[in-house]
Amino acid sequence: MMKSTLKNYLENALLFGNVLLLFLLLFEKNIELPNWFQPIGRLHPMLLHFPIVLLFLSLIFLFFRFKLKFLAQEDFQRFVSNLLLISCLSAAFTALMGLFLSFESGYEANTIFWHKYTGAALVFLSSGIYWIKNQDWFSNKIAQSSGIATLLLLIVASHYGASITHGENFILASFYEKNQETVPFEEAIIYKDLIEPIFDKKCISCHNSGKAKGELILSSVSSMLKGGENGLLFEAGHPETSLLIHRIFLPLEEKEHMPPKGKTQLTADEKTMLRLWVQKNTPMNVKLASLPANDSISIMGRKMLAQEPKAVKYDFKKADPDKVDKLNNANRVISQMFRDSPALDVSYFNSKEFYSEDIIELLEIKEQIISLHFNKIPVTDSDLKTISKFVNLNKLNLNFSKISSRGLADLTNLKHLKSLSLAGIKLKIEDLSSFLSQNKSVATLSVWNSDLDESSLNDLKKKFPLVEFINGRAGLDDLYIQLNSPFIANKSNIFKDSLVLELSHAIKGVDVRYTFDDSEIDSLKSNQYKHGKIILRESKQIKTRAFKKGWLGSEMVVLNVYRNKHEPDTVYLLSKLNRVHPANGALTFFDKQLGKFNANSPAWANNWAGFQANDMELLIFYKKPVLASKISFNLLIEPETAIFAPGIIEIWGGSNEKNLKLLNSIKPKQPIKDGKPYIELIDCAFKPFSGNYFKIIAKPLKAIPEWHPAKGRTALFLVDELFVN
Amino acid sequence: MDKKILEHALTYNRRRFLSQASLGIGTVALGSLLMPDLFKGNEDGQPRISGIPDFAPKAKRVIYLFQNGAPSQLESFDYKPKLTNLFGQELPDSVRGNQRLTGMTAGQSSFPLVGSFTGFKQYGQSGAWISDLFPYTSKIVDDICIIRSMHTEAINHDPALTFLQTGAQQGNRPSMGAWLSYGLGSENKNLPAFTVLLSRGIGNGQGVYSKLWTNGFLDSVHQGVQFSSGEDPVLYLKDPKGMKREDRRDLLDNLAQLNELSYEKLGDPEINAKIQQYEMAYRMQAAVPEIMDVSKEPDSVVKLYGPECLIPGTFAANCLLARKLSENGVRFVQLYHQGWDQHGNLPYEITKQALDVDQASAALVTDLKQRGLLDDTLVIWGGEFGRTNYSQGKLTADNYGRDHHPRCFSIWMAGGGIKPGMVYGETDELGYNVIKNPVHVNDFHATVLNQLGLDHEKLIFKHMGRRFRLTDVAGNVVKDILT
Repeated sequence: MMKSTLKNYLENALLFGNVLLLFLLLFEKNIELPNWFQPIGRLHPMLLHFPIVLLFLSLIFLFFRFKLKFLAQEDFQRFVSNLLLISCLSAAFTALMGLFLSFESGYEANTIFWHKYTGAALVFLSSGIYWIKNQDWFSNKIAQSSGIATLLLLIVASHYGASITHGENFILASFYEKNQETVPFEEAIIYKDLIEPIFDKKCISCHNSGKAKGELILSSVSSMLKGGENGLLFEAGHPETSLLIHRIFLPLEEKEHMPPKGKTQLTADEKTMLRLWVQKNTPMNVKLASLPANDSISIMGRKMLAQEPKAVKYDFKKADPDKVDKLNNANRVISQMFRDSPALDVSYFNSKEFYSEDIIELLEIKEQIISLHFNKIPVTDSDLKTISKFVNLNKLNLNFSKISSRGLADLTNLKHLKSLSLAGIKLKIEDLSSFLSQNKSVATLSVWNSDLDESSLNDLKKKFPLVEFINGRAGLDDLYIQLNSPFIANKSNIFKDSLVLELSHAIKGVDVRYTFDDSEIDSLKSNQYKHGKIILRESKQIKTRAFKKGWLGSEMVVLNVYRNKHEPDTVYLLSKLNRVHPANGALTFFDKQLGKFNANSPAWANNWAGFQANDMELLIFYKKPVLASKISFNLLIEPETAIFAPGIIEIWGGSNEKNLKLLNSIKPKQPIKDGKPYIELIDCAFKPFSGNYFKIIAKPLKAIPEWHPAKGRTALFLVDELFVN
Repeated sequence: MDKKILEHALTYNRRRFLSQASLGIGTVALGSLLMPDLFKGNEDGQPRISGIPDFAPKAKRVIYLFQNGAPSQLESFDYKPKLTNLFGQELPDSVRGNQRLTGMTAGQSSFPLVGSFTGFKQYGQSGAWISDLFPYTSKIVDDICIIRSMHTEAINHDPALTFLQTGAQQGNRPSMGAWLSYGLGSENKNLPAFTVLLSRGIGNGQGVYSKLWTNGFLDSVHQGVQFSSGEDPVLYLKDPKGMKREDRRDLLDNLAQLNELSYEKLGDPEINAKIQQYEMAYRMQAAVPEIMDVSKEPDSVVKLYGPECLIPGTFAANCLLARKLSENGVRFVQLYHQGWDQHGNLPYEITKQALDVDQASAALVTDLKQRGLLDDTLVIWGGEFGRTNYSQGKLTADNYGRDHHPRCFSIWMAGGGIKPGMVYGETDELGYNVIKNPVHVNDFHATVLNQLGLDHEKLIFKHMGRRFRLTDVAGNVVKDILT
């Protein structure tokens, strides 16, 4: 099979390999390998699979070599011998490469140690077997036992090897998944929970007591403080001169950069954190929470703690989804907290359709329910007994339910209850106190609107400093704030013949006072509004205020009601409207829709008809002649944006549209200075006239007065409604 | 959806082929030829949406107090004393860089800097600076997290608003509330998962349109439902006069049977959505009046929100309603308060606007907290972008305006696992650019979804051959502001 000369070469190579391996193992510490060995070493992880398989095969054959039917077969014997030779040779070269590789840094020292020596032992043992296998005393028994020994060694060496490349416990890792509980912000200690984890994750694989690169050991505080061969690790308060900070902030390409190229690098946050830690020189056992919130370590620390996944784990099983589906309905909504979570959240709605059974039914899935919401649901004390069986309950909302203070006693055995809302329930301080002293898990308690007085609540806060009491904005009942103003509740404040004035207010039980003149309104002397008592027959201005005990009186508000006796049958608009104030065309003037301020904003311009470039010409028609003596304009005046009253108003009348006569013409009063916008009713009265047609002409003010920035230009006028009386 | 209809048609055909024509396996093969995804199960189609969060959620619900029109950060939460010192001086070109301006100020020859007309003070443990226009908000500063480094891409209201609501400037994507409804479903089956409430202040207003609470390409059950302030809070919800509730039930049952039939025939999922919406409306008929009734609120609550809260249609009333809706398990309550677009006359208008919202916004946070609900309710307050540090139009000693500014604006968040008592991010001393911890709109969306236990990269809907997310292809969770 194999030429004996070649076999001789190979045997010599094996001997050479063994000797070299032994030599390197003995003088490892004193050897420096040239650069070009590195690529050879790095082939180790690839080549190692050959000796594993080859050795395994040859050991099996070795095992059966002394069987009678094989002893006679020369080919078999030669094959086994050659196979073993090649296996040993590959093992020896793999081991040498591994040794070269081990000169590179960055492996866990302990594992390397065992891998190195078991691997070498494997080479020596298997090579030994090769050389002695043809001795007379090499019997079946020796062959089998040495074979088993080699096999065991093979397994052990490979195991350590795998641990180096894949990490410890690679195969079983999923079973050992640690339930990594993150440290809450309140309890985090700066060194232990923020700095040490960085060292553990990124540095300790080289700087541990086994490997101690650069003689630096980061596995304990004392050794960390000692520093390494280059001196102290850092100088407190001086990050710029500290070795640690210098090395981690060096560019990656620099030889001295840490962690070395190829290793997992520090994140920007971790670097910043280390620098801040050195700079601020905070003592080892200081809590993060004790720093002021705007401290840079505190901010960075919160950021780092937040990055840790906050996986909440429950040790109960998922409920049967069919069961959950069956229990779920419109008034009792059961939802899974999040995907893959066994925890359930239950909210009740619709107080009218609630029965105690609705809770009892849930006992089927009582383990899985971690939050229950009974907002405004008439839950009673006897229901609390059922609720106490939901052992994993974390959050319970009983706001405005029908439970009593004493019922709380039933909830003491809920050992996971963290948040409890009792708003709107009459609570007694002693019940609350005894509940809290028995149930230590509650961290947040909402007791707003619970009839507790300030001082006893303060005592409670002192007695249970770990509980956060939420009681809303205190003292609102005694707070005097100003009422808003009354308003007109009539459907429209434009009426035909008479109006029963309805003044109203949003708040119940207010006292509304009013006046029709310029007198002040107060809560005692002014006229008190009584429903149905004020009947108006003319357009009127009402001034009014509201008063109520416990409140400040409202501001005075001026309200207007308008009489429009003769609503026309048809309105013809004969001229063009201003582009941005088209309102509702011809219908605008009698649509009972009044405009509001801020008419220059498109959103508010809806009800204002505007004229600027041309006159307003409006013809109104009545099927039957009407007797009128006054036509009134409701106008918006806003000097700032050049909205004035019309310059001239003319009213024409007649019984036929071709033959009208001028009834009157007026020049409305114009504002005389800049000021706030206002709405004004301008009357144009005339001698009583009976007719079917009235023509209303209003001309924009041709020249804005001198005092205005836009002096001399034509003003805009806006009208939302006309009244014919 | 077209795919679903196709799938239905094919299923239908397959069944017929198999049962009636007995063509056997060949037909199945044909089916798979016509529809290549047939045997692939779910992996290539729509991801399975279970209504269950991806990971432990901090918040179950969101209340978004949207300040429509973009309130000025310089008169609210971003204190810039330097601007007051530099009153009337030009904005340096180096600061503005190549920032595009709106058509409203692009033509301005001068950009005079102007500081806040109102004072600022520091409050709470974080020492946050808050303007004197927000006295109530300053009282809850230890419960909120102010982000001063928001920035966006759009410079005009509609695209900016649409961007903040849907993650895209063009309006064809689902709104945030619709995404949440899609991802988590409804908590209370008697109410929609996504509701919308509108109010207006006296200031210059900008429109809100129903496209802002659209379901986009998602199933239409995820659309926002607007509750209005009139007699009918939800339009067309009431039964006509004389119709009994039992009659309605009968009608719905029969209608559902008919719809069922046409679903079997056509397989259009919208038909199923329709059936569900009818049922929801039926349940809402009972649930809504109870929620809208604020007459039972005690005086202390009225004082907390301010007396305006009893006047329907005001921001305060909507805040109170938002609390009630949230309390009743509505996932996403979206408020819009209009009137924050102060291009001119800013001191007067913003004072009024702040007065409208300050007390009620703070009250909402307090009220949720005292009911133990702030833990799992995320409250967000803010507009669609910021406002310029220079005056738009004429700058006088006591009057000025500010134009749109996308590069920085301030919002605040409270509850729902957001760090309380924190100020995050920073702008330069002129309040023009973000210099520390910028938060892009995509980041904001990612963070909100994260608080609800949803991975913004996994909340996906495949539409027209492309996978869509609220954060599209960007967004990082702002971990610094999480508890």
